[in-house]
Amino acid sequence: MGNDLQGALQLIADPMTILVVVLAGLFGLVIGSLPGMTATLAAALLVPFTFFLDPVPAIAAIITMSAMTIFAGDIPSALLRIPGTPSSAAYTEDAFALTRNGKGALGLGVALVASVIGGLFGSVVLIFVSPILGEFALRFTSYEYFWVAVLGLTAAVIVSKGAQLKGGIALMTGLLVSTVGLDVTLGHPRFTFGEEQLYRGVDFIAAMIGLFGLSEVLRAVTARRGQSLPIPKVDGTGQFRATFRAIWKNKGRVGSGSVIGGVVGALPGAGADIAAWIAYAFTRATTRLRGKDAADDQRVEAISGASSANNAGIASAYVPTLAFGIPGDTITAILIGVLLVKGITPGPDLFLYQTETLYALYIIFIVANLLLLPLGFLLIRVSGMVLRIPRSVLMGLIVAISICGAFAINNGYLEVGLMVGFGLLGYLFEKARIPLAPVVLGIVLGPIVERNFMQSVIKTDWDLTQFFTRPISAVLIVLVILAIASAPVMSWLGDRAERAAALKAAQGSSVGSSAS
Amino acid sequence: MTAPADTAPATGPAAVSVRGDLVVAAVCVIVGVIVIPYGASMPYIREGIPGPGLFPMMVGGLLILFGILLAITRLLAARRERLHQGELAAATASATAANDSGTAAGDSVAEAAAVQEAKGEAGMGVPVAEGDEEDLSQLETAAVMDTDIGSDGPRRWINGAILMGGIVFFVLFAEILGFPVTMTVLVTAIVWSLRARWWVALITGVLTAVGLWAMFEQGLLVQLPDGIIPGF
Repeated sequence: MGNDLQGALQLIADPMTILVVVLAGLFGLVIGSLPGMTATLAAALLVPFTFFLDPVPAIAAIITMSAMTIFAGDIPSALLRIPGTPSSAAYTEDAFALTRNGKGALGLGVALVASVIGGLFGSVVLIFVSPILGEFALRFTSYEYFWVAVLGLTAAVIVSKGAQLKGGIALMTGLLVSTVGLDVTLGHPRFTFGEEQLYRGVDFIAAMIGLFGLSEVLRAVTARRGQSLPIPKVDGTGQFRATFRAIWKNKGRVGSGSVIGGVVGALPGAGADIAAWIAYAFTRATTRLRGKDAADDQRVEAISGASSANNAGIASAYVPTLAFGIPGDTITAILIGVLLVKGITPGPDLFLYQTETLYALYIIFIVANLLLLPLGFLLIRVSGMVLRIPRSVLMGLIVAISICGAFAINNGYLEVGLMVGFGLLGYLFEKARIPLAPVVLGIVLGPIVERNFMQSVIKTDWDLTQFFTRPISAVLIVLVILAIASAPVMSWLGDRAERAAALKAAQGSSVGSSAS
Repeated sequence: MTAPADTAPATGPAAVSVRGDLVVAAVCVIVGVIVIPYGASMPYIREGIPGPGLFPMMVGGLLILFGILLAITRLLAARRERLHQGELAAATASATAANDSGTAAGDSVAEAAAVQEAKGEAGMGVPVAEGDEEDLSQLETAAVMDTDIGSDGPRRWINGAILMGGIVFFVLFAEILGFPVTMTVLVTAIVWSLRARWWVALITGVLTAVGLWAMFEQGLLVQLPDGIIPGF
């Protein structure tokens, strides 16, 4: 282990890796602070560059970027009342209220420190839990892999709250896309329409860039005229002590938020945003601060809980990714795509044969979260400037990077065309409120599901009972069934809560108007 | 009152029109119907061994199933939503009536709580009221954010067409004119179409093209299209 650790440190200490980590971190911070630009978009734009890097810097870039983006999403929450990424949505109102009361820098500082602590906790969860699961996964055969992949797919559908059927449709679209190319058993060309270039299948990266990059630009340029938003001034100096004092006061909240994030994030399909919502609800429900004067303290409390949860979730989402090779969310799906391109197969093999890479990955998580502290404080200081980057220039840049990225995959125009096609698809899906994440998971997991199903069937000559009677399989099946069964219930509860909230808002508005 | 509270009912669970969802359902069924015969045209089971056609056929079948289910559930949900809207209107009307008849604000708060309790919801979501909706103009403003790149009327679709047409232009002309020129034209056109000043657009275009060219061709050793300009 000592040797591996040393090797891992050598992999990280490479100046190229350090440079890549810092650049990716800054990139993540900028993209995350811009409303409407998600961590997935940042990852999709980053992937073409990681293509040309060694495995460790490539992984480092994506991990650092995602940790930074999730925190940076809090910036527009606090300043504009628009969450930068979905993970910040839970406490946007609280962060904005703090800014309005002149405590913007405190709110953001607390969010930052809580994020760092949460991220570190999530990394610890990752480091200790994934080897255990990985060891368990060593006993997996094609049956179990089939079921784990199915579990990943079901999870993808469940995440699409309130629209599971649409999630299913998105998933089927992804699976269908994954069948393009030569098939896994006989090498028979499928859906290639005589185009030989398509024999190698639809390139995953081109699809990603189109779905999350170009479609976002398409949506933005065809949007209706909105209003320009005023950016409130945040006084960034002299807030360090107040921030750390607030964190110390809410250390229990940060702790519980981290635990919630660590647990929820590790479940396949449930990502950082769900973790943030649960931690937020928990903190709000169990608060001991009462009274009118405590409103701001309550907000700080809620932010420290939820903000630590979403960063903890980001790190622990890598547990199923590393142990089983099954992505938990879109970013881990992208990472798996990158790892496969680099010749690293995520899953139990990682723990047996590539321990150096594995330890390097662990260290990156720690480093990325520690790096977030100084870079985050810097970002809070210059947040006004970042938000003032003209949108029109940004859109031009995204299109240019998307085209270069797609072109660079194979030095050809087929990928550019695919990118445009997926951009249109993403735009239409967005219009019809069909979630995009299941499409990605479908493309990544499709071949895994198909290959393991075929292998199992061929091995046993259509003895389908084998899928159900093996003990580990049985456990996984129960999980799949539970996941599927929970979906309609969750959706029904969500709809009801939303209706009740609408009703409450209507009531509240009439009360407010009578009071004023 | 700020916009979110007023528009909340409009952006409720039924944000996409029922017709839109029915179109989605129809497209799913059509794609499924096309995919299944295509899968069947490939060997899907030969001597008991599953072939390449099996998986696409399964996916196609599920697509049809999901499409039909979406259509059914959507129609049912629309009915439920109509009932809810009626309830909501009634609640708002009664609250307004209570205010008009001179009831103290405290009473309607109690009433709101009662209605909410009747709905059986904990209501942990957004803290509404309690003076949150104060005047925003008191806020010290550092700058104004340029989020406004949308437009109204046909201009939206012209902008979309410029974006897509620009990419087609790039694909067609990159080999002839070379990467730097084509990319400059593409980026300049997009930025300019979004109401940036022409010189901002041009500078962005040139810098983006040169920057990406340097990064990919020099840094990452990707052979970008050279075109007529030698040396590039």
